[in-house]
Amino acid sequence: MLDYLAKRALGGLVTIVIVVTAVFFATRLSGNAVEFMLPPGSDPAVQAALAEHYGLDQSIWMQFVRYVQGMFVGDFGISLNERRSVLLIFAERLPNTITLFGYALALAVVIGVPLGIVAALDRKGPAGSAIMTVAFIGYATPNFVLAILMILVFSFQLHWLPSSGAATPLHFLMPAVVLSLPMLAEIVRFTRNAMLDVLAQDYLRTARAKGLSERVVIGKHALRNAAVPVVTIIGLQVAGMVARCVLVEAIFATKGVGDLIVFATIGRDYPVLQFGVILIAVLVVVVSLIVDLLYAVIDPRVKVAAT
Amino acid sequence: MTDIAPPASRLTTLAAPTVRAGKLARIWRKTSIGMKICLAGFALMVLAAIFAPWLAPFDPDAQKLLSRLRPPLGFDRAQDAHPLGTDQLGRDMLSRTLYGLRLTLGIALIGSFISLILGTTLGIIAGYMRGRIGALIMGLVDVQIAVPFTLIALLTVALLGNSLPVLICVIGLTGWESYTRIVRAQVLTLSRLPFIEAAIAAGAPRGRILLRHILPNIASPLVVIWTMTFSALILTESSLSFLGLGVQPPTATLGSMVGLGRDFLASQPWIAIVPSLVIMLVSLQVLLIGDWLRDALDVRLK
Amino acid sequence: MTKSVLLTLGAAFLGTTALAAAEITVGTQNMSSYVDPGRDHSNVGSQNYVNAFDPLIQKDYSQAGAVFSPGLATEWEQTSPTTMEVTLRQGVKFHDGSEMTADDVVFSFHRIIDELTPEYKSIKTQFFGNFAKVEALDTYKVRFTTHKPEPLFEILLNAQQGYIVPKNYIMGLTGDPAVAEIADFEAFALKPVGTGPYEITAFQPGENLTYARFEDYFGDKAPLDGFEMRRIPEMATRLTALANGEVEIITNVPPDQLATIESTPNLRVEGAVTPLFHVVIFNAMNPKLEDRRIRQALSLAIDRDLLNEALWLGKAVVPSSHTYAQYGELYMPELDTFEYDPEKARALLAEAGYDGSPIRFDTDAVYYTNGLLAAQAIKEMWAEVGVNMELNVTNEWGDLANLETRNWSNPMYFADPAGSYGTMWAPGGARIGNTWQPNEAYQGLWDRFRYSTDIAQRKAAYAEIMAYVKEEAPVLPLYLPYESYGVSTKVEWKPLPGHIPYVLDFRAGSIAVTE
Repeated sequence: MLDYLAKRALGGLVTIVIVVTAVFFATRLSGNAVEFMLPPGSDPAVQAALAEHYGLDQSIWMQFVRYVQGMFVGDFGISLNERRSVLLIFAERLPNTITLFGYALALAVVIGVPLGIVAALDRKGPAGSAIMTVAFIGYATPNFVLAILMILVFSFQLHWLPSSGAATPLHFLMPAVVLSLPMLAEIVRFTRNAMLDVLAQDYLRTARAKGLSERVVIGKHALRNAAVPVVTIIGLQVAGMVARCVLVEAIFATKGVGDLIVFATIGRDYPVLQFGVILIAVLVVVVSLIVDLLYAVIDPRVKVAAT
Repeated sequence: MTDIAPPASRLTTLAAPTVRAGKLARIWRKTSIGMKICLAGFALMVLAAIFAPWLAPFDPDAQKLLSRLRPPLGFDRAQDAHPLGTDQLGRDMLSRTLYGLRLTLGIALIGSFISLILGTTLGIIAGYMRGRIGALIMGLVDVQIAVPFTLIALLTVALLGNSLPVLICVIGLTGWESYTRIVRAQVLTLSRLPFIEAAIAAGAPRGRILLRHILPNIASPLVVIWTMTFSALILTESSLSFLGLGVQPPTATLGSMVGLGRDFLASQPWIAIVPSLVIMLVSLQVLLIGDWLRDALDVRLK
Repeated sequence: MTKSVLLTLGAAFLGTTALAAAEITVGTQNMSSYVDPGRDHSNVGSQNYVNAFDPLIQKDYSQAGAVFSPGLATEWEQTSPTTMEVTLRQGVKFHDGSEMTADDVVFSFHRIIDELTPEYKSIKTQFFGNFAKVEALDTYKVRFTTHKPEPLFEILLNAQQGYIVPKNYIMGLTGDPAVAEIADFEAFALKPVGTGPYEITAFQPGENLTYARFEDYFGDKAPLDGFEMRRIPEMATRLTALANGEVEIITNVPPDQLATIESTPNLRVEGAVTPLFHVVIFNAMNPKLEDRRIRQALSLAIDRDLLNEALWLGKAVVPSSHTYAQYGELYMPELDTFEYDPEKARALLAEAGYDGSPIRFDTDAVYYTNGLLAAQAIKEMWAEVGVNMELNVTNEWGDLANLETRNWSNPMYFADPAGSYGTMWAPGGARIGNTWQPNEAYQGLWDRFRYSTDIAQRKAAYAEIMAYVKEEAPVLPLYLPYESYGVSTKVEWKPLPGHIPYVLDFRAGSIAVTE
């Protein structure tokens, strides 16, 4: 077990290294960062002077070497846009993303799993169909349209909720709802499908034949086995946290890392982008490992075989 | 080389690729009214998209600067010539929506096929070759998941510029890993079946086994994944356009119409709402169809 | 009953009770990532400085023309064509408590003149290229010396880039407190200190900037206890924040959204024609556009009045030449430098043998209000004269050698043609040598305009410059945009005509908050 984990961790590390290196070279080949640090249409002579000051005129290999050297002492560079330590900027913003995503995930799981179970138990009935239809609609709606419409209704017309910022928990309500909707839809669908698979299995018949109550049959046996795919999908959602948060954070101005990374890409703020990519890669690797561990806990029969 | 007759029962079902006509009729009868409406609706949208150049009353890029921001029929200041109103440059909303639907569906279609072919090919290779190459491919799958798609899209567009071919390729690179995993799993399972092993032992060429036995059995899950990714691609394209990537104005996809119309949502909401509704409807229909297909073909997806 | 309870709860959450303490929040479209008046000539930057810093020479901003008054200087005298002696006000405190003296003035100007950072180099070229040195004659007396005779002394000593900053505070921020290092200036731009009626208490680059009243200000007390500028880039969100009472003022409201604000009961619109041009530039150094006839044709094909009517509801101002009313005597609207004539455009294209190949027009998606819309409209206008435009929406300029045409802005940095046309198109200006190379006579012509002390001579020279621009067509000013703000009815404020574009002036007399 331990050496499986170690193997996976090593694989994860390799992934991170590949990703960071690829992003490093791709970004520097793709545009001139200095142009974005000055007002549009600035004199090329001034741009050149600024490039020299920030070491951006050195060869890519030199820059890469310096960057890697910096990483080992915990120096991830200075943001070209904000002229502050990259670590500091992320430290300020990460809590907002985690809070927002936490609320959204909690909403999605707490509402989604029960709804998925109901939809599975009532497969052909009205409740089941209604739940699945709503789930589909939630999945098919572009999140940014929903976001802006909610702002116009709940803030502009009704004045019930603040429209942007991250000052109070109430500020996170609308963004969390918008973010949770597609995740909720996914969880409902996957839970339902997993339950359906499991409900058809033979061992449940055995359990019923043994005289166990329906509640124990569903609650103990069915759920446990249905848990694996559901845990998988939740794991994937957590791993994709940053990417999912991007548009919502941009529209609601909740000052998270999602829109920070995207606008760093558009604005060629390389150090911020690099660190963002590292963060995401680490997140994905860690989540994968945790999910694997959870499999083993939920169902000891699941073999942890290497792929 | 004579065919090796497959044993009966379970394997017969597995190795019977074509769904006989009788079965199709049975599926149709079992379909609910709601689902039939959905299928019809989708067919209508596809037809509208294909025939857009004939259906659209105006050139979608024709600007009438002094007729800007007209609302749809039924509201103040509407014009009869423009039943869905005009946008911020006086272009007809109905025409733009039709052409936008056409382009969006086209992009999603081509992109999803790229994704399908790429993913399936890699999955087959990974399943057949196993060993080093198989591990490499599965490693690539991990990397693909590790880097968020938005980032890949941004970097690619930044490197290669905003253009339709770039957008299609970038979208084609989304979701191939779903195919790869499933296909590889199926290939691994199937190639262990006795009759396949016997066929290989008897010297049947790999290509033939692939064609006659493997591909038909992965067709169903592939179709289902395809419909799911298709709807996801429509949403992805609209997200990219929202961030300012994707097609250049004045060309319109549904996504770019919403992206450029969002500044007007407070006062001229139809500019963004009309294409948004269409995006929603199309993705919804495709999702429902995918689900229905999956039930109809009775395939369990892990 | 329930509704009012909910509304009260909502208001409590939203902090709308803040108005009772005379603090306001401004929702802005953009926010700078640094705050240093001497380093900044961006549109987004001009929001930041007026309230926290002072110039040597002040101006009455309620008028378009220049009426100067004492600022940090109490007296000034141009003792020779190239020297100006300035007497400083005594007892002026910086926000860190230290007193302003001649050393600070010398430091403020020399950091730019000596190009202590790459950005200061750019500012020097555009504003203080003629300044040779600044010396302290005693604790409260300073002498400015220029290379050539300087007709613009007062204007330049009033400019934002000449706002006075504290020498010892800056040098002490990092490293050796006796040396001004680049790191000091970087640190200052994150924790700025000035002499103005408000001090900056918090700054999160790109996000928000908070000010509080500075009790030891030498002049009229600040009317607000404090205010916050908060970036809200999405238009719908910004508008909602205003309607919802979360902010009291919002910036950058395009004309299409004005009706919504005007029809909301507790809101109103304040707008003004901004002393800035949205321009189109033509890269004369690109082989495709080398022939001036093609550039002239592209310029003549654009119907600016139609753009104004359609996109700006007629509120923008279409200039006949590169000139502003704020120039006072130097305002020259009689010059017919830029015109609309599609017939002539077609003739010129035929004469030049234009082969129909596409011409690329770059634009940012959101940076200039109506910028993308105007670009698309221009595409149609060019199509009318037979030119195929390839519209390229991008946020970069890229390699200037590949530039063909694009949009841009030419603000009025200070109220003289040298402060608008000059900063961009004079010899040494931002575009010279990369999109336009004027002939050899141009330097002499420019010097005659810039350094003559006789107004009539300056005007005559400027008329010649504009005639040359008409021939060469490196640039076309489209219009002066009408920039609007959404304001809560509880706040009395409007943009003042004497300011450079986008300034948010909250000094005494410029703003009042009622209950």
